[in-house]
Amino acid sequence: MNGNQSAELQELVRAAAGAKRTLRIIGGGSKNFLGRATSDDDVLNVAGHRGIVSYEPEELVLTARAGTPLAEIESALAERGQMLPFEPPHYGANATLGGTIACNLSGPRRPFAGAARDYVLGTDIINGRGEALHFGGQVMKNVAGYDVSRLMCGAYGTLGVLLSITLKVLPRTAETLTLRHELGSADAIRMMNARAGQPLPITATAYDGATLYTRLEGTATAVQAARRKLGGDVENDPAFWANVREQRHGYFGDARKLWRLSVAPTAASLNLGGKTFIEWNGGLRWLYSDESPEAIRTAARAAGGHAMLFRGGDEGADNFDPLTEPLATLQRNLKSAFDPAGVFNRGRLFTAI
Amino acid sequence: MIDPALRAAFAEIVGADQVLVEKADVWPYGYDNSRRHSPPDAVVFPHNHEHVARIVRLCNQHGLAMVARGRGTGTVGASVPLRGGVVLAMERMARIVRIDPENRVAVVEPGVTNQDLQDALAPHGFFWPPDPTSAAYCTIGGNLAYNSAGPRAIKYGTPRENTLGLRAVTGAGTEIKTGVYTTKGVVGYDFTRLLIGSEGTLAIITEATLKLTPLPQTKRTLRATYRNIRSAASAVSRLMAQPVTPYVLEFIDGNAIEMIRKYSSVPLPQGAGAMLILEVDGLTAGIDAAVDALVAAAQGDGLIDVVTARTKDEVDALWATRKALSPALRNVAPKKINEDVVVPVANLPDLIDGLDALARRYQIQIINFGHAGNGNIHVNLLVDPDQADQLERAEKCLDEVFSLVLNLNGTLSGEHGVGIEKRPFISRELTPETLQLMKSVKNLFDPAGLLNPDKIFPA
Ligand SMILES: Cc1cc2nc3c(=O)[nH]c(=O)nc-3n(C[C@H](O)[C@H](O)[C@H](O)COP(=O)(O)OP(=O)(O)OC[C@H]3O[C@@H](n4cnc5c(N)ncnc54)[C@H](O)[C@@H]3O)c2cc1C
Repeated sequence: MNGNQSAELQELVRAAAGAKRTLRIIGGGSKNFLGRATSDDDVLNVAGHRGIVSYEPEELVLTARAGTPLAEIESALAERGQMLPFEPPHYGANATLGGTIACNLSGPRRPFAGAARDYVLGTDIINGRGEALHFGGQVMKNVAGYDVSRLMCGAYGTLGVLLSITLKVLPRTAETLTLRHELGSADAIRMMNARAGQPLPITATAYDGATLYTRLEGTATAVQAARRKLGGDVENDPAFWANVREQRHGYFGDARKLWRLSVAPTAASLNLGGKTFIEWNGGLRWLYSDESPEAIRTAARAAGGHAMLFRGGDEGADNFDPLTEPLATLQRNLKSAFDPAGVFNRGRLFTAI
Repeated sequence: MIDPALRAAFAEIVGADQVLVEKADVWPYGYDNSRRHSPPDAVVFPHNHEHVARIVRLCNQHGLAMVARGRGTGTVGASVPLRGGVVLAMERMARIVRIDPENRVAVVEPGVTNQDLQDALAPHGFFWPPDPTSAAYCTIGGNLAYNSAGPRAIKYGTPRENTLGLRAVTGAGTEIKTGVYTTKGVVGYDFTRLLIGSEGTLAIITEATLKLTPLPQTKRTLRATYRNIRSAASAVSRLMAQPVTPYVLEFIDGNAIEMIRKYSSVPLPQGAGAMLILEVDGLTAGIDAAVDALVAAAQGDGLIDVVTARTKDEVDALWATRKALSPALRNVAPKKINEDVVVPVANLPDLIDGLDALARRYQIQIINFGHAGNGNIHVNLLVDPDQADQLERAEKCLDEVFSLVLNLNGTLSGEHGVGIEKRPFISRELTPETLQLMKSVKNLFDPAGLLNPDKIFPA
């Protein structure tokens, strides 16, 4: 099923709710691999609901319909010397803004600039009753009522269909430079964290098992001063960070399942065998391992975080750390408040949500 | 008066000397800075998470209303116990549980004051970005409940962007933990950000894990004066659209400048219709380049002058203008109605022009200043409460101020929240469906409707 106009989409949702059918919301389909695999009655394709509604560079605010290709948004921003500060991965040419926000996807700049959700000022959605709702607005500071816009980020479409999203954007930095240091893993983790505790113009870090990469961005003088302070060699591949972000870097592409571990940045190596790629000052660890899901989840919890099965999940398996009571009940009830009949993306996040 | 058996039950949880019931004792816990007053039946001082959970459950058993209170510095009455009941005074839950500089995280109890936290962090080379002017008195719990922030928000964000996780007790007495000890990891729906800004109506926060930012190496202060608000607003847009984001970008309007000129001896350039005060931070090596970038962006139509301070005295001199404002205001009017509205920066001139028109129509003096970088403006209606008709005119005028703001795609509050004061206006900003959904969220956390009732939602 396709809907280009919000009224059409509302009608389709109402019909599905009335007929007790479930809908799988799809934008570009580039994130089909993310979240639990599910079998839904119908597909609700929102890619046709697209287009930038308004972009005011002097205001640093952009509103676009959810089906707008991410690439279209990024090139409109680039023309005016601006960017999406959270540097979202696309995971495919068809990536849409809606999918990016629904999955709260952020790239290498995240620990320095914030996540996708930090830049969402407002959203329009359709809830499970087919009602169109508006949350938030066009301004950065807003404390009138509950912050429901941010709930949409990372909900994987389980709370409603995103119709449009208003984002805060930022000017691009003037100068960028990436440094390389050959290091063992313990030293790399130590160095990333020591640097993150200082006021340096760092905007990305990555460690591939042998080399620590550190991206500096800012005014030319600040970047050069930081370079002298940090030393190391200059990395010349201009596509390096895009490759990390899009998982085109040589590390990725293993036949095994890919795990994404969120842990305390200083956590030592997790001893799970396989191979690891580290980002976000140590807070994000990619892992290909033969260990059991239980062993991986336990290790992530012990390191102050949680693990998500990122690629290679199958139906029935949990991709996210299972919720425990009483949070599980509260989250189920929240889902019901938005989508009482359970129309949207049923089971995408957790079995019952 | 509270039933003695109930009093004993509270005493059993926290100790007899941690429960107040006498009229004179509970009185001070009945108001906040909105100057509204409604005394609670009892004040209970929890000392830990366990206490809070037990108090909330007891209140649920007996159908008693409850309100968490930080230090009562809020300006919209969110902590005022309209229905009496129990005030959970969080001021004795004031431990800094842990400062973990390696992971750039601090874990605190909600009663810690913002300033105490900043003082504890500074020796480690860090700060927590939210910086309400009331930092010396207000608590982290209050900051989180209101999503309070100050000038620094334009570069460093508000509590929402600087909090990793929370421990809390819902209105129903359910103990929850949101977020994880990592870079804002979230499993499932993001309850951390839902609780932040909910004005203590969903859950009582008992512990917060906060994200820390390294203190900058150095900073510089600049002041730019413009002929009028239009030229200043264009400058704000130019300043924010270049890559060197200032961490402070304050604005005062022509009326405020006029007032400073009249009531203080601070020197001001002639013909100034609007003024911007900027601060920029960064590496010592890059600070001059950063200042140059801001000076360049400040240039444009209507600029009178731009001054950079280098020494402490020069910095103080630049801020003197802004600091002269509050005493000047007090000179003019004993009471001021202060609203913190937000509009898109491009609409600032229309806001100020609109406010001038309202001031003329209602014969009320209006003075505006605030955080220009994110369009967060403090609109001050100056009134003499002894003149009955003036107060009445001010109320009517205020009503139109909110309509003006919403017509300019703005919001009713950027910092101070809704509480009691802005309840009558919230349905102008939110549609009935949106409000209904928010009510059903409230209902999930507080099915009996006992936690901070009669706040946010229209009566
Ligand atoms: C002189 C002055 C200057 C100010 N400047 C600013 C400013 O620059 N920026 C700004 O944003 N605000 C400002 N304020 C407003 C106020 O200081 C802030 O809103 C502050 O965060 C309130 O903190 P508090 O501890 O006093 O909270 P209270 O007023 O006691 O409570 C506020 C709200 O928080 C809830 N609450 C308190 N503790 C908890 C908890 N543990 N769990 C759940 N809910 C809780 C209460 O129920 C209530 O809804 C100012 C106020 C004054 C008087």
